[in-house]
Amino acid sequence: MWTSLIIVIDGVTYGAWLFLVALGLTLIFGVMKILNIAHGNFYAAGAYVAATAMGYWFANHEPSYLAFVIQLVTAVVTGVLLGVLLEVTIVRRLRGRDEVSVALATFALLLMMDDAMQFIWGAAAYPAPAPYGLLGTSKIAGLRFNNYEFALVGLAILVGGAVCWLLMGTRTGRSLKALIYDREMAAAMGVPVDALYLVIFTLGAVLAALGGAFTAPMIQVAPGLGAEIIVLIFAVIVIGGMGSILGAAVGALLVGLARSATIHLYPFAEVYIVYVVMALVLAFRPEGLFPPAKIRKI
Amino acid sequence: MKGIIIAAVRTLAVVAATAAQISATQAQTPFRIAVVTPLSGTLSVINIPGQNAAKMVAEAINAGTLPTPYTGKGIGGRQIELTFLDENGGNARQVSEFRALVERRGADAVMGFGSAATCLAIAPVAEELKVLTIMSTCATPRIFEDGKYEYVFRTAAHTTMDSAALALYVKARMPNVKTMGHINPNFALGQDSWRDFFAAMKAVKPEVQVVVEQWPTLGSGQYSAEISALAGKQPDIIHTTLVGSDLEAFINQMTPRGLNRDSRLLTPFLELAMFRMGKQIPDGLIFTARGTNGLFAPPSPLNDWFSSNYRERFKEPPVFTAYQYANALLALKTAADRAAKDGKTPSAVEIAAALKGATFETPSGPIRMALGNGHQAIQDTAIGEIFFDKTKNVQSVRNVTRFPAECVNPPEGMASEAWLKNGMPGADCTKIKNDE
Repeated sequence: MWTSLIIVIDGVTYGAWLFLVALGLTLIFGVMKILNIAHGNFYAAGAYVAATAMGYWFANHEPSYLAFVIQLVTAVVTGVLLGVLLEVTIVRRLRGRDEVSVALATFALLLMMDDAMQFIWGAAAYPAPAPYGLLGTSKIAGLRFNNYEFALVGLAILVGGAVCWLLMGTRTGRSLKALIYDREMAAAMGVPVDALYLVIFTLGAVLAALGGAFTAPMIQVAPGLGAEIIVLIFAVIVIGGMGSILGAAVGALLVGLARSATIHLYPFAEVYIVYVVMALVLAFRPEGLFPPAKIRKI
Repeated sequence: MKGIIIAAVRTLAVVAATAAQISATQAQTPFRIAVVTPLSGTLSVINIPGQNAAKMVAEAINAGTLPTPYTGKGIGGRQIELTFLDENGGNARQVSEFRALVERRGADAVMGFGSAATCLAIAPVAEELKVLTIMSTCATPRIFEDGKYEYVFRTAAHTTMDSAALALYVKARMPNVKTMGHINPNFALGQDSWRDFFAAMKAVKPEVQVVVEQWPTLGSGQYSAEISALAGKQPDIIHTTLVGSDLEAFINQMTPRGLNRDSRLLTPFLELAMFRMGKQIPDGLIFTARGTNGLFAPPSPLNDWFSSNYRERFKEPPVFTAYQYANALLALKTAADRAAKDGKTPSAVEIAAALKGATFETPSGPIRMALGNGHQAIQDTAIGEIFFDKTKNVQSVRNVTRFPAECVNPPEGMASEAWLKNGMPGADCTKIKNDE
């Protein structure tokens, strides 16, 4: 009984973290049809910048809730800067190319950004523990859990809800839908294609940087962070259906729960459980659990 | 007749002059050492001290400023030229780059290697190419137990030593331990370390039961579920060979949740994180420095020189990877100097012959190439408990126990696994010492 509850808690907290990072990737793919392999670097950059900023500030100050503001601000600034820079200089030029070429180009971008980050921050790990202990712990089923991880669940729900509202409840969202279904027709109807692509790519970058900034206190920010996360979140969005926000949420939750159950019940399988889930889902639903609806032209 | 004698003398003079010129040219030709080490990726963090130490010691060897017993400039009379190459990228890439390195760039020796998997992949290739290869850091015992090599050496002890010493430490200092658990990364080093520690514990405290096992992916960074699983079983001790940013993330996440209050943690690789993490590490974690390195190093002029110069230059204390890279270079110098005869530059075969079975002085005390037919090192080791020394405002060590090499390493010819499973036969533990 208690084990089941703990599996659910661990699964949900891990899934929420995955969703936070995967959301931007699936959003960019859904709208722009770009599988951005470099998305992991936005996450890593968010973590590095937040860790650096918090390191400077908390070297001379006691840990305080200001840490959350620093995380939020650095994530937004990093995401906007990187998103705009890369969309205007590189991604825009890839538009119209086949998906494999785009994936290869963004993979090259991942390698270059990885090296650039190591050039800037070096190979040493950056700690950013200040906010991790601020929210205290809760005792559930005899175990202590860090409330920071529960706060991440709240953040994931908040961010997911905000993106859904943006897509479904605003004029921009309706323009985006038009863009997704037929770019040429949307452009003909006056939808500002370039501006919307820039907004979406930048929003995706901000979401990834947000994931990195809020993950930084739990880990040590070190080289290779971006490459490690991209494989995992790619599995999540494939399971959920590439381009689907609901799919990313369900995929992340499924991976989180499967991983958590494996860790508690059969830990030796942890290494490959994510890929087992992905293989099983794809065996029965090759386009994932919630593939976005496709318009059929006659 | 006279003309023939004069011609012969002239010819001899020319030959002698040419030989002297060749010898002088050889002496001027640098001794090229390729240092293969993780420069990127997860393991790069823990190998930076090794890279620092290699540069510092190579410069001192070239300048002839090492303390006794090391005298003379260079290595076998030649100046060292170091080249650093990235170990990251997988075994297939390493093997092809190793071939390219030796065949195209002409390295006189290759040293380094942080990953056990890379070492296992490289050893047969090094042997095939007949290039002197000194493994300084990787720790799996399988290299010289599964294979036999002439050109491959490892100047650091393997993980069996850590596991045997940790088990003896638990037996001596924690007699009431009844249960244990572990969280080890699911790759070569993690699997070997747990297998050895489990066997060592069964040898010295057979009543101890394993109640929980965790096998996270290398580099996973998120350990919340693993911590729940470990905390749920509350084993008396938890063994972990998580290393680098993985270990640091695990400590970050487990400390607020009190895992270290319910169980004692045995963390052999903690030393690599202790100065960087500082007060973030809770008191009481048990660790080793993979030999008498770092805080466990015995006082000596060589260690004083190494430690003080390293601190001064890199603004932090040297940890065990720094010692290991330094020791690999000192092993090479020892062997090359011994093999150099009459000013002649020794060949790889001659250096390998001189290193085989050798004993050499290092900042961490004497190291003996006693296993693997003279190719695998053993040295003394020590285990202690971390605490934050408020008077000096720095991480320090207490409750230290020192183990002689003969107590915690298998005898020559016996595989580590069999030695541990059979209760460590032949281990001479009469000289175990507790620091005051």
